[in-house]
Amino acid sequence: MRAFLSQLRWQFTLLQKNSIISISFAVTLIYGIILYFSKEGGYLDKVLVAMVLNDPSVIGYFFIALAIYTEMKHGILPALFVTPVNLHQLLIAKTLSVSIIGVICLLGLVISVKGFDFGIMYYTLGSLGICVMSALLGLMMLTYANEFLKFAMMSVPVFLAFFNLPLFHYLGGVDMGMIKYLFPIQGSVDLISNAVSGTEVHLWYSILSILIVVPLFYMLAYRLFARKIVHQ
Amino acid sequence: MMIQVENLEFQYPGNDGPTLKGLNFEIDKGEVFGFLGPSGAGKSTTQKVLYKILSGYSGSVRIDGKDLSGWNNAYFEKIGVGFELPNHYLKLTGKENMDLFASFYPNGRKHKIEELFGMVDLQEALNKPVETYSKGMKMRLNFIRAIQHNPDILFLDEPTAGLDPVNAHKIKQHILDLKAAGKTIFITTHNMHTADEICDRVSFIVDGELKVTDSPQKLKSQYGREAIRVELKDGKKQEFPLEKLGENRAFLTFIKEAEVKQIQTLEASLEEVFIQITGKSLAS
Repeated sequence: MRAFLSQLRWQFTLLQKNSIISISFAVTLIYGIILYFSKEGGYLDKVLVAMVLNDPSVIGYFFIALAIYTEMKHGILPALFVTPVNLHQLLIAKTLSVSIIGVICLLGLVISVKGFDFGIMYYTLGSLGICVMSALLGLMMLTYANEFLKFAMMSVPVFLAFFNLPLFHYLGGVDMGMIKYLFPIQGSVDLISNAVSGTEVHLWYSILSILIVVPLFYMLAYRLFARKIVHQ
Repeated sequence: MMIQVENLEFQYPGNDGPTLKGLNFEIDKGEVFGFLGPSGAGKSTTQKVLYKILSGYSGSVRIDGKDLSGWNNAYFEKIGVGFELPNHYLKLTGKENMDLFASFYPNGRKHKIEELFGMVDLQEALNKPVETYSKGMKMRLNFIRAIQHNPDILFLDEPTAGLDPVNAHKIKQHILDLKAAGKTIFITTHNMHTADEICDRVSFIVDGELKVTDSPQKLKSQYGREAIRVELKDGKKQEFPLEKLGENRAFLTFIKEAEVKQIQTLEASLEEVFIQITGKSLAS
């Protein structure tokens, strides 16, 4: 546990030194200001959930990839892999660090418009679910592209499938019916929606889906990373 | 025997043929062993197999008497790797880079950080971001990062590349000190002077095959000539065998004929031996 906490601390240090924390907070602040001045609009909750779905997915998905591409570019990964570093600890620390930043940003976003008048437990759990899933998805996808630009191009269909379809459904743009329950982030979306608007939530489904999807994503990300990045 | 390699073959996925074609070599504990060859010969691939970055090889690799595949993560506590190019977190300071890597080892760092930085004259740069370091400074940081956990085996890829002569000399001296402390050191380089100065034995590798393995001294005497060439200021030149040179009347007479301009040994350089054996230049 001590070794893991040490890795987590180093990951936060790296995020901070590479200005990723500052950028995340700055973007959230801009979103927060926009939301604050849109308070009187009738679609505030919908806009809030839409932003919640975009902000952490970007932080988790892109920033974890950016951090690893930077390590690749500077040849740091081979140096890491000839140490006794525990790959599980390393990947979980990377995932958790960007996810915690994401959750803090999301809490800032909701507090800017709702104060503390929202379901903080469900909101935090839903946010953490989306942040962790998006970071793990970023880890998986980066194993298929050897440079960030290619990764970004490949991300368009991935974003559509994983984040935008559930969002369109939530906004009422498309009706996915029961299919929506197959989306990995649907459980988190339901929790967040319930937390900010009091909409119906099937708690067992939401929690179960997060408990199933996160380990599944992690297992896939770990295997891909070990096979395609560590052992080339 | 610290490292034993038998019939090592490796082929990268998608390549037409193998990069390593049945390598055989052994490295004793406390030996400095050099792998010499041009770019693309298979030097780095061999090292990558030995430090477990590449799997899927055939043949046998035994480290300290145990098959490489049988080693768990503890293997990485036993080895230290100095890479050919600098590879550090540029936004972190030199000390932070060292601390981060030391955090991966259960027993942490075995030397004081100030001593390590002092070894390679980087004391002043201890708390400066690595992005402000020159390439030579980053290479010296590579070196101390590789030895900070006091490994038994060191893999050094071009350890003097990018260093000025003074610092290159210091690194070579540190390598000899590590050898004296019983460390096993496996160097890959295309710098014949470095190999000649610090290696106990060298192997020439070309196109994934080892052509010869022996001490630099033996190779130079075997492929060179044990003779000297004398040039006088009047332009005359003559060669004499080294054997019983002081009793060689022709030599003694010759050097009295005019003032001596220069005397050269005709021992082959390691580079000349390499070219003779492999038919290739190290620059290729």
